[in-house]
Amino acid sequence: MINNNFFINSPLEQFEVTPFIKFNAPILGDFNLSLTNLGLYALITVFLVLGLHIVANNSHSLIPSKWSIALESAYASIHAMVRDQIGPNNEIYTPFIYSLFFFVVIANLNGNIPYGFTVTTSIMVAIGLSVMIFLGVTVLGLSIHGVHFFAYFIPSGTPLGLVPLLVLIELISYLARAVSLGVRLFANMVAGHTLLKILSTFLAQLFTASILVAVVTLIPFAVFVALIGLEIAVSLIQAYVFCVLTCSYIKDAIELH
Amino acid sequence: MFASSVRRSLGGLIPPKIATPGAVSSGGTSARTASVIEFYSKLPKGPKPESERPGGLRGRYFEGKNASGAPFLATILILFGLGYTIDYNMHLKHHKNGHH
Repeated sequence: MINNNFFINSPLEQFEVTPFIKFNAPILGDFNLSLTNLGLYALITVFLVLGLHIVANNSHSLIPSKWSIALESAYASIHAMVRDQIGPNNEIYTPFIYSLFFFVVIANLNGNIPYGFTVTTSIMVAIGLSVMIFLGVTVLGLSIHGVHFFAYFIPSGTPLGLVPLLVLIELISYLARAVSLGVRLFANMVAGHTLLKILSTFLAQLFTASILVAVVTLIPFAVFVALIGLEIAVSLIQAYVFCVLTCSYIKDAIELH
Repeated sequence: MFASSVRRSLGGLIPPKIATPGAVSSGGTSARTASVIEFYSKLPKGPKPESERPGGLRGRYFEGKNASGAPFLATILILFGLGYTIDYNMHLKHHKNGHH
């Protein structure tokens, strides 16, 4: 006799990375290949981004369709962002920012579909992206400015006595970028999805309690629907913020303050 | 006087604003304008011939006037189904009878 059919999972269970297929091979040390839900949804994200751009280009016709207008608007927005942030002479970074934006935004929006997995709620993906950007930006700065790149750590007009202290502070703030960019994306996505999971668990219990309670629950449910809208907005905003900050880091590496 | 100044200031916004060589460049027919006109006059006119139009799902939902939001909804439904299937087989199946 089972009278407790209701179970409550941890709201953080949705972020677990679990392998679907495992492949162990005793070559090259302990070689382990596995397809996880994270890997699957990363592949889905790449498939959606590429598919959208291949299928929605309206066969390069002169008169656009609604799909190609949407893509051209996205391109125009990101192009304008790169021009504003990095400068009109550095439009060469547009493809990088464009692909970065589309990966993050499709991954975030994909996570809003129920039962899905959000790639950017994995700290490895978020920090991995931001550390790669940080390393790339540092290499860019070193290749453009050579040794003069280190002048970045000494603000102009610093008294000689303060230089060791300021170099330390500037170095820490520079290194913190590698983490902060990724943590911002990761923390926003995790917080939103955890909140929705907790609230939906409560609402499911209330809706299944009795008819009267279910009718009254429609009021908090309206707030919940509004929160889903907020979560979709957060998905877009975080992708935008990620790209704006990447642009400003690239600009810092090119112009050194 | 007021009406004419209004018309002048709004003239750039209200169609029809036909791009004649005189209107878009300062010097009558410049070489640059002529090359632009030549480029566009060589482009094929009218709708695309039936044989060149892509068929299938792409032709039905993405091209030209057929562009619609249906593929968007279909993608959401497919991803929902996929996510539910995975979740069912990884978690829900094991909790079906209330035990952990």
